[in-house]
Amino acid sequence: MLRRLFISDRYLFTEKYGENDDKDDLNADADENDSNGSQVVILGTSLKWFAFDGELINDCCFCNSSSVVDASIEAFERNEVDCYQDAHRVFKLLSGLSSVEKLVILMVLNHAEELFAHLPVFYKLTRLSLESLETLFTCGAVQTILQNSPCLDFLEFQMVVCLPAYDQNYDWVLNHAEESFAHVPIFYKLTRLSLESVESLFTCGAVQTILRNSPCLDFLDFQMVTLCSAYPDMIKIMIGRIINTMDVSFPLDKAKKQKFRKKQNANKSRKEIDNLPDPILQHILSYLSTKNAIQTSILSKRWKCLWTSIPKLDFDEGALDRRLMFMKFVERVLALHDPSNIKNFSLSCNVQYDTSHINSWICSVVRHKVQVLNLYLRNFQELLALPPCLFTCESLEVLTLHMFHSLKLPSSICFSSLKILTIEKVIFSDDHSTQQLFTGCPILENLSIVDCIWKNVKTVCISSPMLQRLFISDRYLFTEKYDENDDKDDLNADADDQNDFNGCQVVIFGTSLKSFSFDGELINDYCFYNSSSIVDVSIQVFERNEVDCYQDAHRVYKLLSGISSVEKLTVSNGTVEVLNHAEELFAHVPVFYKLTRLSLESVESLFTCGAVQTILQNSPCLDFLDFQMVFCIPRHNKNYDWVLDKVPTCFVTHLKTIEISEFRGDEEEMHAVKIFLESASVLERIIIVCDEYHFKSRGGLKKQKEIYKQILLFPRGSMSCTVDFFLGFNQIQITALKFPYCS
Amino acid sequence: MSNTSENPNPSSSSAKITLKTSDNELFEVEEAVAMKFCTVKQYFEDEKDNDVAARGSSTVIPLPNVHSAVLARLISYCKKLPQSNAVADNHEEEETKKKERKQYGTPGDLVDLISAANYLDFKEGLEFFNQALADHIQNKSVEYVRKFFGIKGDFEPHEEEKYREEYAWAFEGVDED
Repeated sequence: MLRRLFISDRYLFTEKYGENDDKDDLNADADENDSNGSQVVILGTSLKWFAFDGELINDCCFCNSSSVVDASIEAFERNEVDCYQDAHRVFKLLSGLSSVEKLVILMVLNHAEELFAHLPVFYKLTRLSLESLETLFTCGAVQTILQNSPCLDFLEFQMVVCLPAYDQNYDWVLNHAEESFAHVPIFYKLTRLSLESVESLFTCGAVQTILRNSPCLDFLDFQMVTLCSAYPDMIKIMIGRIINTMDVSFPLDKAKKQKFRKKQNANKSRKEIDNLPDPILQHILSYLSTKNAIQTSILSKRWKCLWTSIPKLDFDEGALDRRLMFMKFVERVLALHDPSNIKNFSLSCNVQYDTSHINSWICSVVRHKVQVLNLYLRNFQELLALPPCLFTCESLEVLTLHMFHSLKLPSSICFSSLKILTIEKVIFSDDHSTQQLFTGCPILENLSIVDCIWKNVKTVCISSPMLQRLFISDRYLFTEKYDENDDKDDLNADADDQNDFNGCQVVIFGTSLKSFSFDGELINDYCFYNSSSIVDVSIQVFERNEVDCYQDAHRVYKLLSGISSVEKLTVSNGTVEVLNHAEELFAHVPVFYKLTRLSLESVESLFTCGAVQTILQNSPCLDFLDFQMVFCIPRHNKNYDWVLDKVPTCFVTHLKTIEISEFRGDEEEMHAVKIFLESASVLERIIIVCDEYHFKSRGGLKKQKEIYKQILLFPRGSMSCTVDFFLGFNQIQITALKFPYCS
Repeated sequence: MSNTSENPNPSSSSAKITLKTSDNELFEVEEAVAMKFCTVKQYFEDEKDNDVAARGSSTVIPLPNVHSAVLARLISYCKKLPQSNAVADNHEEEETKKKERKQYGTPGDLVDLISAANYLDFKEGLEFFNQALADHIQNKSVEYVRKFFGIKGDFEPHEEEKYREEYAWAFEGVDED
């Protein structure tokens, strides 16, 4: 079942730069290599993605890997002696990858010319990335790959060398490889070429040759087009010529060339990192792990103290056997760092018997006015009560608390600045303290409660007056089934046992609430009061079991009736299934008088679920309907007649846009499109985005064209409706397929 | 100079602003893009206060500290902004973002981009490019970073050795890249 494989053999390479800090006396010469490499045979029947990075010390080869779609090979040259063998190994790798569709090659292949003939035909290769233009002209192997890739339609150079700054390089390329221009293959299918700069087009003969040899090119893009007022017109003219006449001849304007020269001189800029001011360097350091940031202190005298005032500290404990080292490390950093400047503190570690240490660290950063605090704690061996000072911290703005552990709270809680609170896997202790926690956040804007255990709580009320976004997930029982809860330890082994627990009642007073999202099983009972400000709601419910389904349906209806003022609603397939368990409740679906956008996960959910049809009937202002088609659900409702019982009013008054993503064009979907086109009489646009992968194996473009034709022939209720047909998510070739417009 | 026919609303996306770089190249950019650069925005607003008629394309804003090649890249980054702003929430997304950051070239190029973004007070850009530069430092040896960023190690050999001893705790147990 292996789908992704990544191999990196860089240890010899890093060794040269003295980087291997893992070395100890016992294994000091484990990496000394007079072996000739191990032979690694990869049987990858399901392998999709393969990447190699490093030196080809070992010999990898593929058997039965025709499923590989995406491969990347980045090999470093070793030395004179091994290069021939390495070349051999690269060719071996490549010959096992003949079915690849996307290939990235970053290396030199030229040491074994006689092997070129052994390169396989990459019959599926559509996209090739190379390191530089040079490799194309100076490397016969790359040219052979191109010759052997009949279907290539996208060629990419990751670091085109022809930028003005590299003018000399460009000369080099010209001088050394001009004679090989003749060998540039003709890119019959190349329709799109990306260049890094306009200059490369004018100053590089190689690019011009590629253009000359690409008769089908219809898209030329410059990643950093500098439409300086100086020469936009010229570029326009050039592009016009490429596309219309194919007669590509580029006069090298002398004046222009001089300009590039001049630019090159001006480019002698302050490229050294030491020219940046301290605050910027500290900002850069804050993106590094704390350990890495501290290591920069040895770079030079200037860097020695830079790290001590970076505002962000991030500690993540690795393997357990380095426990002592980790504890020591945190202690020292906290001692040496400028304490007034810890704004952001993250700690991810095992607790074991060290609750006192952890609490003292937390106290220390709280005392120094930490603003962002993230705690991910696991493996408890003793009970932890977080320090009371944390719960009255005035500076704290963001708090993440992730621990599968009972939350013992102090009697007084006041987070006077807290805006974002995330609690994950926490076991709430009792009604009173839990209630205090939520009341203790007067200006909270963003609350996420992820897989928390409410078992010990009967009712709780969330009523922060400024709360804008609320995310609740109850997936822990669901993940439990798949044994995914790594946070469990002996202390809380059965905390998530739900026997005789009928859920906690969570009442949400959301006077400022804008967005709400639920994901998981409706173990608890959530309901809204005073939430007429709500704009965006997503409900993604998983079905539980036969016994609870009626109750769950009831709870979904309760949720829906509290959010009748929603403008954008997303309902998952699972939610639809649950809703269907209680048909008698359809009448209780509220009128969504503001709803303008409804997202569903499949067309089936619309036609087979009375509840969804009721929502549509009750949404008079809906003007955008979209289908994400995320899951391929089994078609168990074959005998259901696919009709809309009654055309919803919004279909004839408001509905302007319908979007279907991941379209496969099967019978049901086509039928749905037909009904939409027929019954939506003010529709302006229907957008259909095909599922690329689905079509790839089923006739591809031809099949898609057929489907598009069929859709155009469907009768339409709205005369002004356009059909925008996208071949795939990233391809914008909508109506590039020119068919006579039928109405 | 008659501006009467021009759109009086300065925030309209059709309005253009001309920027002049250190090497005297002129860039005509959409106002929405130019306003991302707080330095430009400030200049533009001051200018507007001084002279009510000076609006839109009639003003040329000089940027003596920014080279045209750098400005071009900043503008192209600006145009890509909306997609790259979302927070990566899983490993795969983080990888694509890393790749995206990798596209912006060598550490040297990044230093130029960062200086320019800093001068222009272009917050999103500064964050993005700083992170891209951090990617080049993450998990690299001291020697590598010195070499690639042109940092001269100015410790005396014995100083460095002493320092390494003192800070041994920071260098032990580092995972290999």
